[in-house]
Amino acid sequence: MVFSLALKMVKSREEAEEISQDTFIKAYKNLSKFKGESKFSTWLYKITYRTCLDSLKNNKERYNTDIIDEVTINRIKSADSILEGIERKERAQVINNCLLSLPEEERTILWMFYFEELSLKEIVEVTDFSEANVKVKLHRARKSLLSIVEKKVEPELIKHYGRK
Amino acid sequence: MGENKDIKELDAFTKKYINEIEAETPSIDFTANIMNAILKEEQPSIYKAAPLISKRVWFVLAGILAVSILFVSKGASSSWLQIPEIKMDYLSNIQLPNLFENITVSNLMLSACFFFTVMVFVQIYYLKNHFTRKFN
Repeated sequence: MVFSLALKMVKSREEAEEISQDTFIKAYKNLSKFKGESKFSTWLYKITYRTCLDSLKNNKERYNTDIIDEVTINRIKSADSILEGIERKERAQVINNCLLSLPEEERTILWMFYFEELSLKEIVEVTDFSEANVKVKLHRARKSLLSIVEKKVEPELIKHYGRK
Repeated sequence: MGENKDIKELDAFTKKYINEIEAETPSIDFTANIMNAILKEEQPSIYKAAPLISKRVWFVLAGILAVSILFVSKGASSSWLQIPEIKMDYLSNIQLPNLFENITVSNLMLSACFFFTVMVFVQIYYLKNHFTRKFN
C-alpha cells in the first residue's frame, strides 16, 4: 500500500520503489516515536506522503488545473455508460491513466480516500490539511476526474463507432 | 437537494471505477533490498567499540593524580598534612632465606629482558590497531 500510494503520487515505478524503501527505513528508525495515538498504517502513510512531497519538490513537478464545469447527473450517467461499454481490464487502465493526469494533490487525496479507504480524519492526519480543506479538495478531485474521463474517453468512443 | 444528489452520484461513480484499478506491486527483490538497507544501517551500532574506561573517567583519574601529586609535593611540610609515621621495624625482624643469593644476572641479560618487555608492549599496541582496522 505504501508503494501504490507512492506510485500514484510520483508516477514513476523506480522513484516509487525508492520512496517506499526510504519510507520503511525511516519508519524503522523512528519506531520509538510512534506513540500509538493513530493507526500504524496512518503513521506509515504520513511518512510516505512526506517523502513523496520532498521528492516532488525536488523534481518541481507542477500541473495546471483545468477550469471545472458544473457536474450534472446527466454528465455522470453519460460517462458511466461509456465506461460500462469498455472491457473491465481496459477500463481500469483508462481510469488509471485519467487519475495520473490529475494534479498531484487531487490524485493523492482521491487515491487515499477511495482506494486505500482512509477516512477523512486519517487523510487530515496524513496531509496536515484541515478537514474542510480535504473535503473541498476531494470534491474538486472527483469533478476533475469526471472531466478528464469525458475528455479522454469520448473521442476514443466516437473514433471507435466511426470505424464501425 | 439536487446538488447533494449530484455529489452522491459523483461519489459512487468515482468509488466504482477507482476500485477497479489493480494495486501495483513492487519488484521481487523489493523486500530483500529494504532488509539489506536496514541491516546496513544497524551494523555500526552492533560493532561499535566502546572503551572500558571512558575518556571522562580518564580525565577524572588524571585530575585526582595531579591533585594528589601537588598535595604531596607542596603540602607535605604543612602541619595539617602530616602523615602518621608507620612503624616498619618488624620487617627487619623477619628472617627469610634468600633464594637468589647464588644467582647472578649479567647486565646484558638485564638489558635483553628490558627490551623484550618493551617489544611485547609495542606488539600489543600494533596488534590492537591492526585488528581494530580489520574489523571496522
